[in-house]
Amino acid sequence: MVKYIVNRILVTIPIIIAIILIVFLLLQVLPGNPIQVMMKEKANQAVIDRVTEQMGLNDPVMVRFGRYLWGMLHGDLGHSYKLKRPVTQLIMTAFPNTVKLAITSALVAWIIGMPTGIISAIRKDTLLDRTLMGFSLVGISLPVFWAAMLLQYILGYKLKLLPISGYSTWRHMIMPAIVLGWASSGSIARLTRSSLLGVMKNDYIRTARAKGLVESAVVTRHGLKNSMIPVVTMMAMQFASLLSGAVITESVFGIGGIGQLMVSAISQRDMPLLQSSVIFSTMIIIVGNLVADILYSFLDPKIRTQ
Amino acid sequence: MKKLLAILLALALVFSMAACSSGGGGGEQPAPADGGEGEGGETAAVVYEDGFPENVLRITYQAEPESADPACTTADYILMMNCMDTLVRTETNAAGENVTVPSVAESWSVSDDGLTYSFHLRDDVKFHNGEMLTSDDVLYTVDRMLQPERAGRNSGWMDMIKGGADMLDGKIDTLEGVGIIINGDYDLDIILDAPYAPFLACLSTPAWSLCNREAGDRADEAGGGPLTSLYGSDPEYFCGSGPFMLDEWVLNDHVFLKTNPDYWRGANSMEGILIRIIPDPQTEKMLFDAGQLDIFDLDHALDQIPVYRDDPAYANNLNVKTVLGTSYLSINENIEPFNDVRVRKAFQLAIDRQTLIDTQYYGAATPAGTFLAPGVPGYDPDLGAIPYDPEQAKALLAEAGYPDGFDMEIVQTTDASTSDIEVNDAIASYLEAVGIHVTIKQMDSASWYDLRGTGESPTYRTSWTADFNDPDNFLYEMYGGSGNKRRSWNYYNEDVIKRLTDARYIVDEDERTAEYVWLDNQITREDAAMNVLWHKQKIRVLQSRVKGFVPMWAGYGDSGYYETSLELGN
Repeated sequence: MVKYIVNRILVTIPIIIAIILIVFLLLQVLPGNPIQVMMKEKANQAVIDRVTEQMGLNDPVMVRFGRYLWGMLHGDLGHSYKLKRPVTQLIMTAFPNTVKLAITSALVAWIIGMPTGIISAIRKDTLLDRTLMGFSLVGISLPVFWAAMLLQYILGYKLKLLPISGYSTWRHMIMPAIVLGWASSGSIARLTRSSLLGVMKNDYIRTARAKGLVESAVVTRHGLKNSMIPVVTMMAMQFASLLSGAVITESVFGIGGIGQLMVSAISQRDMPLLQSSVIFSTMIIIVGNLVADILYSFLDPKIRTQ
Repeated sequence: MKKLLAILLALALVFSMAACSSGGGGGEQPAPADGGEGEGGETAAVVYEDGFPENVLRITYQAEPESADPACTTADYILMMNCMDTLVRTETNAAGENVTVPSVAESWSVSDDGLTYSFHLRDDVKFHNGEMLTSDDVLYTVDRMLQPERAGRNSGWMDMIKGGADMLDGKIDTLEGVGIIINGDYDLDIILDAPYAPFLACLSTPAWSLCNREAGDRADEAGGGPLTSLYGSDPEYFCGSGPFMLDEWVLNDHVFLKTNPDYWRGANSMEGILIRIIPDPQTEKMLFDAGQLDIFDLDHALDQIPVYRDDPAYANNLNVKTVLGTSYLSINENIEPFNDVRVRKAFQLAIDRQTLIDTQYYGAATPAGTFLAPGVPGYDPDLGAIPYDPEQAKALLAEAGYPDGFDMEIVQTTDASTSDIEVNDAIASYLEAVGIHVTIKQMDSASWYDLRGTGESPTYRTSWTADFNDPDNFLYEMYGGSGNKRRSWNYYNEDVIKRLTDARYIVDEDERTAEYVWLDNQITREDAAMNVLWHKQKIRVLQSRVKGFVPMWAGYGDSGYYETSLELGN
């Protein structure tokens, strides 16, 4: 078991190094001088050239990459061109907001998704099943920004129950969590349903029933545990992608998370911020997959003994 | 049928969720305390969701302001305009003229050769850290901007001071005794390399916001050097002398400016200004309608202009300010057939400015006939707008040898708003009508800036707004210096270019104004070097409680709020 986990962790190291290199090089290919982009119309060429030189942007790519790696090893991800703050500070202030949003929306997704899936599976092909699956389909297909605006309008503006925008208290997180959670709950519900239905066809379920177990025990003790493998994987991956930033939701609700940070970095060609936040997000996804794999091995002994 | 069912189900879900979350949310914690205003009643006081007290002005910014440090931004001036002072100020007087008035500099005189500016400073200006503002801080403000290690982004506003170039090259460490002579705590001389008539007006730009030496050194040290100084980003290290103090900065959420009780012009009556970062205009509108915002800049949502104008509750709360600037289509004379003045004139005549203004900007602009905007010295009201005359345009094209028209490109950057895209399409169809076939070329703005810098960009549409109230800031900026190539004009009238340079040195004000009347007419009308479109208006809606708001003289999105107050207890 320990060996399996160590192996999985070791495999991710070269992936991370490759990602750092690829992201850095890709961003070098982007055309445009970030200083000119940031100074917009109000700057003369002499000033742009001067600032570009003074900020070390004229140095060769390898020199800058070396500087970046060296800094990274020392915990220094550089300084944002636009916001004039250390990138580490920017990411570390944005990340907790993203975490807050990810946790609350994942909770919403799980609380809605799993029971819906289970009920649908048990009441397969009834009106209840169809209705619930209809809900999940709506959740999956509804554009997040639209759902967000609808909630803002009804709950925030009309009924004045919740704040329209911001993230300073837990009350602020309710609407964004519902929006994002609803969107993710659909896939969880559908996957739970189909996986549970698949499992319930197995011989050992029939055996369980045959030995006189009540249906609820059959479902929870034998069915659920075995049908959870794909669901847990999906939840872990969904959670990781939530942690890597929800661009649209963050922007509509004015939540200062990783997603917003990346959007502003891209439009401003803020290279230090952009490369570090992209790398950070990818790392989160890698770690998320790693955790999913490890969870998987707990649920399914076959995997860890392979 | 299935679709209908799905929609009904969706709505049912939304409302059922509304019911659950209201229970949960309401029970979780009480609404932020807000002075214990009474509840109920039809005009219930707004309960502010941001948790700040009632007597705080609430405005928005669409993205994080870059910095409060004049060396660090050329775009976001809101923090400097409210937290710092400049030597002189520009104000719009009752007659609508923009005049330079004393601020930290109580009085000044200019030597006959136009090189030496002697200033006498007020002795009652106190920085937020308690220190008095003296001549040394003015010297420090210039020195820090020109320090090469700082990469000061506004150095272009100071490099005309004697020794400025040497300092930027690292040859000298300070301008003291070179370009700036200190004659006591409250007196100093600034010496220029060459006479520069607009210098005084230039001192009122936010780039010249005065910094405190002691705080500056501390901020540099804490940030690990001038390039990474914390002066403009950390309230603990920032220091200005303005009416508001940088109090709290929560990244991507809000900046709070607290009223400076010791301000030398008298403290503002509000408790402070809350700048909320709201990237989404729909959200911004909802917040404004819910009373959570005091000022809504309709440039963020042009289609809302008629909504508020036609709403009796807001019709009297619109603040309209004509922007001291001009929108235009550029013309690159290196691209055929724009080397022919008749083609350029046809290009000007083919566009119906008034209709575009009415349909696209809901009337919030005036058609332009010159590049200088009304209010800038040298603006000639008698010239009038460029007429819409497609027949003459066609005739001119035929005369120039293009009876069947020609093909041209207009660059549109990928960050253009929907409204920008619609305006470009409308312009293209007007041009099409006289035979000019337009292809709209989409480009990423960073790549486009690169292309434009090489002097090879096709026509693009943008606008220019005054930095300081002087025609030099318009005409020389475009055609006089490096701008001619860098902005892809390639304007070839050498005589005009020389006169643009000479006009910078004319000391007599009337003579200088007359020269700019001639230059503007020659460039925009006779040579048709630019296709000027309109002077826009900036429209804001205010809540009724906002009193005394004065928009920035040039009509920027950023304003100082020193004159603003709030009517409390509605």
